[in-house]
Amino acid sequence: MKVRYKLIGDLLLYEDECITYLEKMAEAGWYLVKIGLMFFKFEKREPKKIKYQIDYNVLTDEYLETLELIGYHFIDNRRNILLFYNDDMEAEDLYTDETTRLIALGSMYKYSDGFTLIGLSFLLFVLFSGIWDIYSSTIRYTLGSLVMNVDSVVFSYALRILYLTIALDGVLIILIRLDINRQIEHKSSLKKMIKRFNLVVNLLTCLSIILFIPVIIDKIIFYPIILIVIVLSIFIYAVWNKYTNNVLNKESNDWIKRLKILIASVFYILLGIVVPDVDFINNDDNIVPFQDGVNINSNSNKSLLVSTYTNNSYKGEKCIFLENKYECLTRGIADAVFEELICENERETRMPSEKEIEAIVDRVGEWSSKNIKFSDYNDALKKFKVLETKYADKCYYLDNIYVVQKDKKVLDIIKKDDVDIDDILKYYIK
Amino acid sequence: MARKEFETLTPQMFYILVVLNVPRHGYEIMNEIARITNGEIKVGAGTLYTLLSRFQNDGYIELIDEVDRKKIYQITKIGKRKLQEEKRKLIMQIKALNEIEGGEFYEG
Repeated sequence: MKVRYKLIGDLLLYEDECITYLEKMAEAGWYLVKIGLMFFKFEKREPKKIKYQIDYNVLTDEYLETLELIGYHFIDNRRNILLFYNDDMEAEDLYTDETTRLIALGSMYKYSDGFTLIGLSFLLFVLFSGIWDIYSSTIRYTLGSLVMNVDSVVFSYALRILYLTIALDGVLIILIRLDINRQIEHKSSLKKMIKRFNLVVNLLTCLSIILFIPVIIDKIIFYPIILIVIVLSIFIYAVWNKYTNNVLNKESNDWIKRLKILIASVFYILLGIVVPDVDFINNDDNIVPFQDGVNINSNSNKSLLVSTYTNNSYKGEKCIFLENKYECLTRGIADAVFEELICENERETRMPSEKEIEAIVDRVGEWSSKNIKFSDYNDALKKFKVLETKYADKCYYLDNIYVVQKDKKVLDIIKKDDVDIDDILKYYIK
Repeated sequence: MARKEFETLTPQMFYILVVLNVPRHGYEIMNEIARITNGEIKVGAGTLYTLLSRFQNDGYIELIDEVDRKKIYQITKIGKRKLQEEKRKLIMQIKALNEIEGGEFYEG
């Protein structure tokens, strides 16, 4: 049998448009058989006029039976939006009274739900604002800084947009409810406003998905376990959705319904709590011998643009040198990372003048080293000295800090006196 | 806000309360209303079930039995008082019609 999928969009929000659309499809021979998460599923049959109706009542067995007796057949539902068809075009509408239709519709959109979503969004903003502080202290809006932190930058913006979308979703529910109440009181409809608002919410949702996908793909390539977690959580969500969507509407026992949703929610939240604590990224800590008596403890964070390897070497308990290695996708990116490291190291080793400190206090209210300004690359580079070595293209150093570039690899080394820098370079840039 | 609507009964609300003088379930209510009004007043299934749960919440009707998963409702004292109030209003309306000049014309 021929099957066709069509995007639902916001059709289910507007009953008239939805019914007109479905009846047109039936006349062209496409019968609605299923309401998916994003698509209507149609099957090809003989073209015929069919009467479609939307209902918002709780679908009890008795109700279903009554509807069958008057010729209405249940097709599918999304939450409490139930879709029925009747072969008889002359059949009575399900709602013979606009007010009761609005009352039934209104029972789906509760002010409390809207405010809950807004509150949830606010809570998420507050809970994760700390993470953004960390991001903002490491991120500068330069190419080098962005490619080194691409995941955190994109991810934090995707999260912000997602939280904003949740809040706007709440506002949308409140708007719809307000509109229903206005219609009951025969005031002008807010439909145009709701449509525009809904468009904004949908665009933001798409934007956050577009931002999330590359980050997730970038991680999955190097850490397949993340894929398993994603698949697992989608599976749990699907089960939860199935439960709340299909079975529960037919249950008249409100208590059981609430309990099931509660259990599913608790399970889902637990997953949300457990997953961030599992260290997926830095799970390849390993220790390799470097030279006699010296061990290197390394871990890595792999990414398509710039993979970061952090290596600490120890002689017994004593730290010999710290080293960060950046493996970049292209030479251009490596150059940008090199420049960024020069600027960063110069800034970290520079004691700001009293004038600069005063300026910071004026600006932020208190003195903190993370507010010291970055110098321009060329200015910063002037403070570094050049070290000629056959192992690297560029090697600059400032006291015991070395910034080295060899083709697509960039090293950032803090060295103790008794190690020869050439030994380290020889080891890392083979 | 929606509750305000119940201060005046629409014809559908009125007839649902009237036929529930005798215990009935949903489908029976629809048929009975069609019968006593000669099909003039029609109550859609969606309207009926929305109103039934609403009336039950407001105490106008009560669930008295469940046979074969069919819920059987009957009017309560509060519901009857509501109908009496409605009757008073209707009589007042008829009286007003009769009193105006040429009112007998409306007597049919």
